[in-house]
Amino acid sequence: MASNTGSEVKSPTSDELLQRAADLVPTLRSRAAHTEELRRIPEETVKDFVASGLNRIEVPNKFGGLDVADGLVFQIGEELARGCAASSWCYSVWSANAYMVGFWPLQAQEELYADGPDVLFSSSLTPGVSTVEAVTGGYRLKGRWEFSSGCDSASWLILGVSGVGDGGRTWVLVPRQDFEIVDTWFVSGLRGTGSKDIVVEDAFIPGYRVLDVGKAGNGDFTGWKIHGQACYRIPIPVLLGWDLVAPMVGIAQGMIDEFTSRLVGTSGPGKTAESEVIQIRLAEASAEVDAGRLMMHHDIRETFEKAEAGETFNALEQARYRRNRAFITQLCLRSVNRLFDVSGGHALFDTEALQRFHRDAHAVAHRDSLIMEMGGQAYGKVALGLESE
Amino acid sequence: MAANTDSKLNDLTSEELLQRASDLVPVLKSRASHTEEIRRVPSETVQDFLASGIHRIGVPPRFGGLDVDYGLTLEISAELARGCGASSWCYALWSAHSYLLGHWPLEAQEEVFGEGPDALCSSSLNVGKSTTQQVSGGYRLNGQWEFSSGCDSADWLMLGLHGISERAFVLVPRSDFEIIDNWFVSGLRGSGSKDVVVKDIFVPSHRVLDVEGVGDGSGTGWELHGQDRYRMPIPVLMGWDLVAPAIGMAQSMIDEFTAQIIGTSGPGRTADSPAIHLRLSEASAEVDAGMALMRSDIREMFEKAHTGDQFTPLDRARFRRDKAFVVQLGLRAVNRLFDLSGGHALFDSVAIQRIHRDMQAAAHRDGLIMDLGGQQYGRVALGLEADGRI
Repeated sequence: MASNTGSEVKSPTSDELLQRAADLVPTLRSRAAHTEELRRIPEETVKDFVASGLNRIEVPNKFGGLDVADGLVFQIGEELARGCAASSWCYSVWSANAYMVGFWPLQAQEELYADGPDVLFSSSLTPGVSTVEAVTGGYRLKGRWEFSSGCDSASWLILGVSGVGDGGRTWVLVPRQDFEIVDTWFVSGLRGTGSKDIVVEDAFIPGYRVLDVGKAGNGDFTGWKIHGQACYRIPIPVLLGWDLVAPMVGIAQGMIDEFTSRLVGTSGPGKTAESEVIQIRLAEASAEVDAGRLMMHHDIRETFEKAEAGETFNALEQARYRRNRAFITQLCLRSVNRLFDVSGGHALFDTEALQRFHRDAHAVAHRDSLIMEMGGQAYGKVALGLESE
Repeated sequence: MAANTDSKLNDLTSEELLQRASDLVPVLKSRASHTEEIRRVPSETVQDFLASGIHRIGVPPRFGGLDVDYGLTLEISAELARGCGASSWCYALWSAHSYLLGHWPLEAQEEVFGEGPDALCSSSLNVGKSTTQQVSGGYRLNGQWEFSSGCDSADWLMLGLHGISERAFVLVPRSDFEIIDNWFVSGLRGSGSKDVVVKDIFVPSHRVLDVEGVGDGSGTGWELHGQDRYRMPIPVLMGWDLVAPAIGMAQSMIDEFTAQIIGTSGPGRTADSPAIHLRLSEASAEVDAGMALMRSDIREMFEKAHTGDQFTPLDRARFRRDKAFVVQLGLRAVNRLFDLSGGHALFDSVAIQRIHRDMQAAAHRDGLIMDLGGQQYGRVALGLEADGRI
């Protein structure tokens, strides 16, 4: 990724960045069909994210990142999704990964940012089908991983592995020359995310490119010592995941906007602005999205306040954030379904944003952790006095 | 459409016809992706429907149709949907139109079935953007209509129009309409429900049907064919042809989901998970309830028709309500399972996502949404006059 030399991105305020995201919405919308066809984020869109400075929000300050309000990246993820969910999804995931690499040892971070801050990281955080072998100075890795959103534009990957150290969750950093992309991404929703398979054939991973996920921000304060930013005092599972929820809230809001603009000004019997049925659907759907957004903002604010104050996160809090990520996603999914179900035959055409929002919302909500039964269950366990897994 | 000359078809029993539909399920399933790609029902599938005899159930016996209950087309539609939603959808509509044709004046029926029982008729029953002008011996018709499922294979169309009576349908032969290929959609892609255009054609009066009142008394269809299906109002029987494929799609979702999970174990989304158990249990109860309600309504309708009973406004509103309710039950079941089917279910090669898309498309018919299709029942049950179609 070529470094961005524009000085205008040096010090935008949070409000300016949010405005830039809003300005990108019509552009992303106009490219949404093309993005689906390509089944990846178009180069122009990647350039827009980089040129606007949005991509630097989560880059550690020390490597050229921007010093902005906590949680801004999630508001931007929401906003961008109103134009194109897949683009928002990749923006969000790239940003989350940029934040996460700040937990790695400094040597690894310096490698990643050797060419400047405008580098993109994709990931596949479950261990896939992989094997790791300890060798002098590091590990030999081979395997195959799935669902690596935005990998076509990535210079590095974060990959989940198993069998390293004490057996907890482990992630490794792999540079572009060490992995191949297998184009498997022929899907019903979020087509533009290009969440393809990744293959690594016998790559050497130096020890400093390995992260013990459970300890990061939770006993291992490497990130906090290097960057002094509150986000590195938060255990990874507390903050990670909102990057997927934020686009979902934006999709649901986009659905409401689109549904409203189709019906405003219509009259008469049937599916028009005068129909009480339509009015009630819209009322319920928009209440669901507003509730979801408020809950997300509240949880993120609370998380950062605790981190600023140096507080730890107990098991019930961690389970509650996890529960809420699933709950907000499901609220938004319900809202999207509620409107799509009464949007009529014309909304089915490929040219209509409504059917794309609907397909995209379902693809988001297919992440196991964003389903109540999967993401919400741990809260029930902990709240009932049992140990979480 | 060339006439099907297999004379043995006339002796097929209902059980044999249903078995033939079951035998077609794996065939339709193997063609489902291709059917989506070509965005119409493939000719091979049309031939299979004709050769198997299942298409003749809707056709009046005097034109070579089979003398079995019309309700069998609905059972068969539900069965076919387990292989391919779009193919079932078109089969169900072609069958419904064959039945509907029996209400027209005899002269029109003889034109349509002149070359045998295998003529296919598609439709667009809303008035579209059309104009009708009365001329000597009939009408001149211009216009464009939407959502004409299966029109690529149709020999005739039924089109809704206004300006003649409250609600009228006309028959238009293949030579008199054009198809505009605008069917680029998210679900039921294979149904090829494209726009049709008619430019200044002459429609003789005998090809026009005034829908209101048909089947309420001693209509043409009943006199000509003596079948119970012609002793009920058109809006009572029409619509189930959309419900049956939808509930069949929901059943296929249950089959696919079960096949995906069975034999898996351990943590997460496996056969050991109580969350999965509950979802499957609730979804299958929804589909079974929907199927049972549809069958009960069909049986009741035909019993009333057989004894010559009238259908009260409350009966009519209730059947209309139930069509929407059954589809919504099926939709809920499909969503319930799809929501928990994981990232692998999103791939184009996996039936689960196709069933989900097809089900959304089926449930996008206004009449099949509770808010729209169910509302009149509430009015009539509360003692008000219906203020919409029942």
